[in-house]
Amino acid sequence: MEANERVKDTQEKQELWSWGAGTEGQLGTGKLQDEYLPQLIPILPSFSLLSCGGAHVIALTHGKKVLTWGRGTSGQLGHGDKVNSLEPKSVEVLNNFNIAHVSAGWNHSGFVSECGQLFICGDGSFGKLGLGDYMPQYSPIKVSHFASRHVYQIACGMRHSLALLKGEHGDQVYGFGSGKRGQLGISNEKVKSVSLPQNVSGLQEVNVSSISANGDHSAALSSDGHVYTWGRGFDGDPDVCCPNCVISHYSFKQVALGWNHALGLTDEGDVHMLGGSHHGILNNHQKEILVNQDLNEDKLKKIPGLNRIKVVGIASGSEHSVLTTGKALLNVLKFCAENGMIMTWGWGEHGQLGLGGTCDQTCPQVASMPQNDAREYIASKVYCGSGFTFVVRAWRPK
Amino acid sequence: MSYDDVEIEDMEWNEELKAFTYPCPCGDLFQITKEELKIGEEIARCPSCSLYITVIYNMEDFADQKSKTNIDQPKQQPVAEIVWSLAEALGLLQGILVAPWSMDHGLGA
Ligand SMILES: [Zn+2]
Repeated sequence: MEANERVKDTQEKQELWSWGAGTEGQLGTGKLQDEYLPQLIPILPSFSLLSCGGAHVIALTHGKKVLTWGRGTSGQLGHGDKVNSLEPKSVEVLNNFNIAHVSAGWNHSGFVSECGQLFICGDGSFGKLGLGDYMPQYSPIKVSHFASRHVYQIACGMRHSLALLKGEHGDQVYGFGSGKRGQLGISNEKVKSVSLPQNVSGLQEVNVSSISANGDHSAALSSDGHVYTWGRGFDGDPDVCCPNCVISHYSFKQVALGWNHALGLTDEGDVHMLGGSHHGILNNHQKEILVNQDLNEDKLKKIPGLNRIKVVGIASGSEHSVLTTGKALLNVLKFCAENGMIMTWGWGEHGQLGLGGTCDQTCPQVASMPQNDAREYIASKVYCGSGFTFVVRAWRPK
Repeated sequence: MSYDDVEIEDMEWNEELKAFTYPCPCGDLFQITKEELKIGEEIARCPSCSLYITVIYNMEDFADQKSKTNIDQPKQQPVAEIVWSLAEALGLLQGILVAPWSMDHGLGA
């Protein structure tokens, strides 16, 4: 059995799709234009992880090497210059390391090696590179503050960064960069900015499985399924300076942050949303219904229109949202039975919803990607940059 | 509807664009020039999309500065801008730009 599975694994291949804002080359299409429908990108390696920022993309290959493309004017591509790249290009400085995690922020980038070293590059304003200054870096440079301690994850936001460290003293989250909206979580009061990593308070007893940052928001997901958020308040609420556990009966397994909303994926495969009054978006009528149904769920709202659909992955752009499905719970509609169906909603002006137009959507809509009949599609992973979307679709021959 | 209200000290000066900027969710930048601020414009627009933000600032901070530089001595490059270019060349721009706001330096100084 095992041998067979291994053979199957090696046969598994990927399609890379992108759509939305493309004028900085972030779609990897080789063109400088927005795309309203999913575009198939010819790729050579297969990717284990993607991270999309303001207008650039970081891709981690299964061989643990890093490719970047899109806007590079702040050095965020790590190619040693300030030049945009229309096509995936290797980050050569990192070739001597096995990279395990990456994160793309508004205009900076973070990379974590298998042995726990953190590398960073791009715009250095607000101290968000954690190097003790405000200088830009055009090639990834090691964040020496952590010395030999083991960095496990990096999360890059608009003007701040978070790092998750694991070690004998338990899990620790650090913040650096702008703290104007409380997004660093390092103090009970707002901190203008710090250029060296500082410990996030209030997570000492928490087993942190992942961290996220986008816009002026920060979040941590605990291994027991609790979501903590801090930073800019949602829906006009006051900013929060320390990690705040989101009240919910549900246990969450993934969190995705936008600039004005947050998504949480429950263990059961439902999607809940915080905020979203900008473009995130559910309209007011739907919100009221949901709030009435779920009085004890505090500010978390279950996304409607997903009955019978089990969601397996979520992603948030600045003002749009994307999900991917697993098998339907009830096999009523044929399209629901499909593995790896992609649904999108929110702001659509640049085609980031992949629906063929530029309309906003208040409820999840199916973005259809052409299927090749000779391929069996296994699963899809979704990723969002500020105004664009990427899908990695795994397949094997039928 | 304005996407957001942003205080001028939270915007970044972009020397290439000669404008104060703030990230737009489309990936581009909301932009407003000193000239616009001088005449009381408070909307910063994004060249790539329909969104705009409302800039919160004190108009007097900009009125002073313009009369001293661009209008009285239009042919000369103001000393401040030469220093600015040097600072940028040295890669110090970000540090200078970000840090001083926190110390409350007036823009018209
Ligand atoms: Zn825009």
